[in-house]
Amino acid sequence: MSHTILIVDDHASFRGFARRLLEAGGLTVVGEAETAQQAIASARELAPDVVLLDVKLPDGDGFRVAEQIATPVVLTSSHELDDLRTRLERSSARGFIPKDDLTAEAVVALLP
Amino acid sequence: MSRGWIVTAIAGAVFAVADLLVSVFWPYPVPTIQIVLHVAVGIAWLGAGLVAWARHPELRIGPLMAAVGIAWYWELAWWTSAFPSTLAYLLEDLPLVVAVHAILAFPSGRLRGRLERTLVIAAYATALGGNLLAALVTDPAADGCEQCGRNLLLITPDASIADAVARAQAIIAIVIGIVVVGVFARRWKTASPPARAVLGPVAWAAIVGGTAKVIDVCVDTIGSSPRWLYWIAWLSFGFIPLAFLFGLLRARLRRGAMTGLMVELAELPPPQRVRDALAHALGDPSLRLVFWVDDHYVDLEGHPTELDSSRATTLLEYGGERFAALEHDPFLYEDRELLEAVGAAARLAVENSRLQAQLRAQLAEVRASRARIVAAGDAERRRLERDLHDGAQQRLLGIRLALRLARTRVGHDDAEVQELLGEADAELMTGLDELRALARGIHPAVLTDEGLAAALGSLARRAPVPVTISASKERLAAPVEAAAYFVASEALANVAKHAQASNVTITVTRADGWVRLEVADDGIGGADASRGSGLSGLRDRVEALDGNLDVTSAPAVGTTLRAEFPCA
Repeated sequence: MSHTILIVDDHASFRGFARRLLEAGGLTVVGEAETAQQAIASARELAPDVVLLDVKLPDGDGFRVAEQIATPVVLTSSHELDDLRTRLERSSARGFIPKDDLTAEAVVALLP
Repeated sequence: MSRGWIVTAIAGAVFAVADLLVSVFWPYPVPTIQIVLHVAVGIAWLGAGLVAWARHPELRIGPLMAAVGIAWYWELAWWTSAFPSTLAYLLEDLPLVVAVHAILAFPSGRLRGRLERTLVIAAYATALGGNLLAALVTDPAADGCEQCGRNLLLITPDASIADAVARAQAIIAIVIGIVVVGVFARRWKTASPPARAVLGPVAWAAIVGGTAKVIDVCVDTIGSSPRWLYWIAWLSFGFIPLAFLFGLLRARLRRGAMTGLMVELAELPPPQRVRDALAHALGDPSLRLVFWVDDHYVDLEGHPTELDSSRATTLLEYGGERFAALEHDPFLYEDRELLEAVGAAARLAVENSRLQAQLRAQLAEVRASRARIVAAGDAERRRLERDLHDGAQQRLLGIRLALRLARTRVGHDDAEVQELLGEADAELMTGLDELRALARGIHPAVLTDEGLAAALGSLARRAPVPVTISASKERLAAPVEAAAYFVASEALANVAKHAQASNVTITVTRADGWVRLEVADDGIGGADASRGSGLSGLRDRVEALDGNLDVTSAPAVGTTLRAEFPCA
């Protein structure tokens, strides 16, 4: 059975491409969210296997949202890993994938 | 002179003569010294009151003091005819009460606060009410004074009631007397030097006289008080108006301080010293000097300020134009001539100070505007970085995902399309990297999001030379973080280009309200701080925040760049 995923990003075009790319890679995208609030609500409601969460959201910070979601979280960002390293080390997220390198395999590899 | 003043002066003179005549023709023997003293005490109050009234028509203290003199003559009970005698019975003790009123209201003539008003009302009520009550039951003839004028208010003589009233009056008088002494002592304790100069002699006379009177009444209530105590109370009562005049004279004596002031101000000292010299000459340490610049007041530093409406102020003018103002103790109004003389003597020095203050204010404004320009530049850089990140960068990332998706869809059979897509992706990646570098150069997001320490860490990881960082994660003011970051960034760029260093240390410390950044390398040294537009641009940025930038670079020792910023 394929893994279900919730995509959280405030850029609609990125969400669209990401959905198609991840689905092509065998994941089932169960929903999309564009704000921190929506992300928390959707994660609770849809109970996906994993949440792909942008670090910067218009109404909050991805690191903080990750702490409020029970589902495994994979963080993503268009910023370089280097700029986020210290905060990633302290984060409760399962891992980080730069937006450049996003693939379904990379997501699945981070899941238990 | 006002009409009231003239009437009071004439009435006073008539009463003084009447007092003298009544005393001389009194059927019982009276010592001459007592007659003379009685007339003199009244004249002292009247005279001092009239002088004060003439000098300060706006103050109520003059009429109040003259009233003590008038009442003093009216309380004398040595009249043989009925009407003035009855009036005298009623007005007995009134001069003392009006004097208490005048002392409490000294020098403005107005009572301050509820306690003082209550005290004065209680004193009037006790004296007048008690005397009225006593008059109803007192028959002077029955008391052994057959020649005394008849008491027109007498209903029925009753010595026990009269006695009780007298005792009650005495007890209340003692209480009021003690509180008045206390109030005066407190006022003395909190008074400023110019206030004390005016208040001093009155305070001593009032305290000595008040204390003597209280003891006199106390002892009198128990038995008979010694005669000398009575005389002390009497003499100090007569001394109070003289003390008032002495207080005024003493204020004039301070004019000697003018000479010192002229010498001090001749050098055209800086604003603070001008203020100190004025404060010294006027004997008022609380003196405040403000300048009138472009239709508003500025302080010694040139900062806009307001006059404190609760304090006394004197405007300094020249040729009808205001140029400064003094905020001072209200007691200095007592010596308006001195204030005006000091103001005139200080004109040149004050005018000079005013220009200095104005210059300082303009300098401060230029500094503030430079800091605002830097802050606005920073804000603009942050906005540009965000726009790049949220706009172009996101779209390019979307295209990268689309290309990747296209590559999976095309499959490996079509080698030519695969290759084309691969090249497009590589080109796109380069473009994205360049865009990121550009955004970071404009204003790194990590600096905005996580602060100086994280941004320096990111900078260090990109540097071609190993960099050791010692900096706390504590956030600083945004302009300081930005300036420190760009200084470190420029320094590292210079190290990479010229220093041939094998190690760089970046230290950020915060102490005594300053943030200090130090970038030290172990390279070849010999850098010239005056060359290179990069550093001079940074120096402007640092100085816009009231900071300093300093480079030491000795051959073979390495280069150390230090920047420090004030940071509250």
